[in-house]
Amino acid sequence: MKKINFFRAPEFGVSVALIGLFILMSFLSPLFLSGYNLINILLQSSTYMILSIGMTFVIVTGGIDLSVGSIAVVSGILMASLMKNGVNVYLAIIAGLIISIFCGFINGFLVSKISLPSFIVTLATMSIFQGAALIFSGGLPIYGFPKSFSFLGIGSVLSVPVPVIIALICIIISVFVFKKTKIGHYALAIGDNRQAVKMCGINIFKYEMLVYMINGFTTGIAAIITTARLNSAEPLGSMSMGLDAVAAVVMSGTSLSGGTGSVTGAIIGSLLMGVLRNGMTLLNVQSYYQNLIIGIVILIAVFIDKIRNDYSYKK
Amino acid sequence: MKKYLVVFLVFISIFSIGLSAQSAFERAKNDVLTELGGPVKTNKVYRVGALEITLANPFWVTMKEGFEAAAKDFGFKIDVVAAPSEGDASAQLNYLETMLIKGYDALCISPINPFNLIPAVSKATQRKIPVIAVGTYVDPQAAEDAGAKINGMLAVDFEYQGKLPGQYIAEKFKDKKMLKQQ
Amino acid sequence: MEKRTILSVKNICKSFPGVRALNNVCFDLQEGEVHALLGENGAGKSTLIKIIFGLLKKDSGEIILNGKELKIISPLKSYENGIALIPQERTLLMHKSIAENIFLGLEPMKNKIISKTAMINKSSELMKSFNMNIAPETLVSELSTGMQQTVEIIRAINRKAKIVIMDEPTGGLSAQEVKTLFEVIKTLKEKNISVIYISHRMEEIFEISERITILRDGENSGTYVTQSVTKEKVIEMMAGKKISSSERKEIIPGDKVLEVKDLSTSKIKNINFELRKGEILGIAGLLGSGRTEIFECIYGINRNYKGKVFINSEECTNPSVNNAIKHGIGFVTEDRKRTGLSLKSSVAKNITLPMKNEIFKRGIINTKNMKKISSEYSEKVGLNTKDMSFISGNLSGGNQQKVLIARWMAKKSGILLLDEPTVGVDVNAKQEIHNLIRNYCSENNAAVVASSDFPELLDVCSRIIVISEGKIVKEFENKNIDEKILLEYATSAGGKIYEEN
Repeated sequence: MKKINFFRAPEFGVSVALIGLFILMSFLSPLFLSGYNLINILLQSSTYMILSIGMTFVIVTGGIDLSVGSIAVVSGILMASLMKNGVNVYLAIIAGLIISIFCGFINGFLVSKISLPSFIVTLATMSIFQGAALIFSGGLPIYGFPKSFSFLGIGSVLSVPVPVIIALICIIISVFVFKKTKIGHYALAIGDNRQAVKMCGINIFKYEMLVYMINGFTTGIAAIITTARLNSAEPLGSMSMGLDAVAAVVMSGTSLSGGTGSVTGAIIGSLLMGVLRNGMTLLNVQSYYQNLIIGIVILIAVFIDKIRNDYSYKK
Repeated sequence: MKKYLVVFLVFISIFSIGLSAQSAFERAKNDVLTELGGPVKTNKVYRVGALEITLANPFWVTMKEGFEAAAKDFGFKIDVVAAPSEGDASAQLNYLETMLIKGYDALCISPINPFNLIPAVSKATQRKIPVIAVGTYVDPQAAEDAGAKINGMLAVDFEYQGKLPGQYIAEKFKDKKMLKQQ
Repeated sequence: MEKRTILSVKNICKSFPGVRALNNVCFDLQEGEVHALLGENGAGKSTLIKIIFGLLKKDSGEIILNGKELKIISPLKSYENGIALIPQERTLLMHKSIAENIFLGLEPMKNKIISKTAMINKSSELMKSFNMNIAPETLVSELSTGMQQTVEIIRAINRKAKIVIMDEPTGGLSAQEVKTLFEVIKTLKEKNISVIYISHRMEEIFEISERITILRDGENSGTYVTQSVTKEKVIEMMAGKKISSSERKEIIPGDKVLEVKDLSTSKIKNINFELRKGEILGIAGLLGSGRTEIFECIYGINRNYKGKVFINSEECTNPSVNNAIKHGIGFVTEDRKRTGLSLKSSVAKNITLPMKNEIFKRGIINTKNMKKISSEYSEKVGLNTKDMSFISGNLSGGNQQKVLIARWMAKKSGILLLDEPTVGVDVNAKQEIHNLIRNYCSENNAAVVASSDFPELLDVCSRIIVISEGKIVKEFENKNIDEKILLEYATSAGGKIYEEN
């Protein structure tokens, strides 16, 4: 009974891929299983895990948010410049979170109220936010922040890095929100059958907005960690962040058409990406090959998921 | 008008540096060797890790080739890697952190910005791995604050590089005021 | 009058993991006959035709075409052998012309260039023989569903099909379109082409078919000449047991719960009716007659209407879906897959979807309550699964419909609006749904049932209003009336026919 349930779980494909990769890497590189490296993997995956949480909420409603990378840049630049101008660290963090939630709000508003396709909306806002960050910062990176801020990126408590702790807290809260609250419940329902949800008198606008704002919020947190860790905010920061988050979510069997998926799956997907990148660096694989291999692994994970789906439908 | 002339001359000077690169490299090598009194003979083969900014740019590709040639000349092993893209500061940091556990005897880094690699460098310092910044530089103050020790810096001062030909031109055209007016 | 047997299917067996879909099924088809294939959902009709057409592989048995056994069967081979399948979903290229669709894959060539004139001429010839008098250059997307189907049939004929298999051809068609389809089928007969006709609708089968083969649980339960059997007999053979259409209870209408006064939109005009407690009101109307429109106004989906709607003698001043639900209205829509169910979600979630405080406590889900409520009501409606986490999309049509009815029962909606409640549902489930509606209304609730399935209205409703072209043309007490009268009024073009006389 339990075996079948596990096999049918949407996280099956990505879990198998993760376990397989883990075993493979520990054979290929003796350094892989060292304590330092395992913590290293967690540290490097922490931002992706946090990003993939918000992305899951968006994708289960049948939407997508490509602007995540740009929101992170806007938020990072704003925090950095505030701190540079002597604003209190906490205030700067709050401002950074508010701006990223606001960016999510803009996306949500355009998608839900004006009912434009999320792909196009966020493609446009990706460019807009990026442009805004470049204009605001004059294209130059901003460096050097107070120690209390850097602590969020490079500090550690009981030898567990702070970003890992933040990611853990985010995961616990989001799993609860996703499984147990109206937001998660209705987000899935909206992605499953929008018309049916409308016919049940549920305020789609409200929940869709919330979903995009949650995504903005998690992006803001990821931006804090990245900025603190690098001790700098780059206006040209990592634009691929958004796509990596989408990849992590999709790998876990979450369908881009919405209605299915889970936060846990997305977390496993992010870990898979983390292990891949880490393992390949250990094996001296050049970054071009890394991109290539990651693409192949995404295909394999999605393929396993398809086999699982076909199997469970036949039953 | 003058502005364009300056830009033109800067280009010329860069090209000429490029043309004489081979001989310049040889000269520099000899200079270093005489300074150090020749390479030290050991039985141990040292392993060095080099982290560049990107390999999607001929500048860094040439540097990679230089690294590998030097490794051949001096008899050590080198692994050269780079971040996936020029702006991906956090990915570069992830690379360096992973490289730390590979037990290199020394690291050469070319940070994307003066701050992004400092967390990993301070870990290298704890592990007593010497780190040299090549091509781009690390902010000395921030490094010191984070307990990161940079054992050497080999960087180009672009401001100075721009200033030299400018000065040269200003010197040459000192008396010809009409040019200024144009 | 012995006709030549063109296709015979012998002892076909087919198993899927866990189910025996077909067990020793035999069946034969004569030249130029319309042979109806009947059976409940899951009886094996679709499996059988898929095997004949080559979409599925048989486990054992043989298929004999023109006296020769077919060894390899695939869709491509079937076309070569002159067997064509007209599936439920249209397989036309929507943005191409009729002629291009008819000649898809068989384009007439002239010097290696597709000859459009030849294509159009031949198409128009074929279309004329089917009484289709429109230009062959017309885009398929501009045609009605019925016409598109005809195009598909013509395409099959153009491929020299001798056997045409039609899977539920009248699914999305209006009454007029069904008539046209029957004309087309008659033309096929004249051309000596055989038709295998699959349908749920008993009336059609008796009108069009010459012989009937009934499948039950994957077994052949008999082949009959249509004229020699009665509807009741056929239903009995399909279900395997006698379905008693439970006698209508005499009801005493209670207080007025719903009143509609002078309701008008662009599609309906001056609709007036009232509904009392315990009553089941029928709205008889064909596709496009405006029945769905009335429901949409009452339910608050369409807010731009003239006239007034009173719920429990209270006027709706601010119509919205949310308000309608609050006032105890539940709407089971016509298209359960598009506007009713969340197909990827569990049964429990679907039943409790409109609930707020019943399953949420300060925004947090009470899973226990959700399970309790959903099992209680799924038992009440007789759902065939006890597993509340079962994915709704995998339920049969009848059970999906039951989930939707359970949803509004659980929400304790006093007024149910049901739009085509049994479309695409098998005979047994249809009866069960009718009983459900009756029983629910006898518990001091009320319902409005809109349908183009008139026997259904006669079966469940106490009062029936007939609408045509957006107007109410007649109101009946459900006594001593029959289907014919309803159909006569429903096709009266907004009552014009009667006004003239």
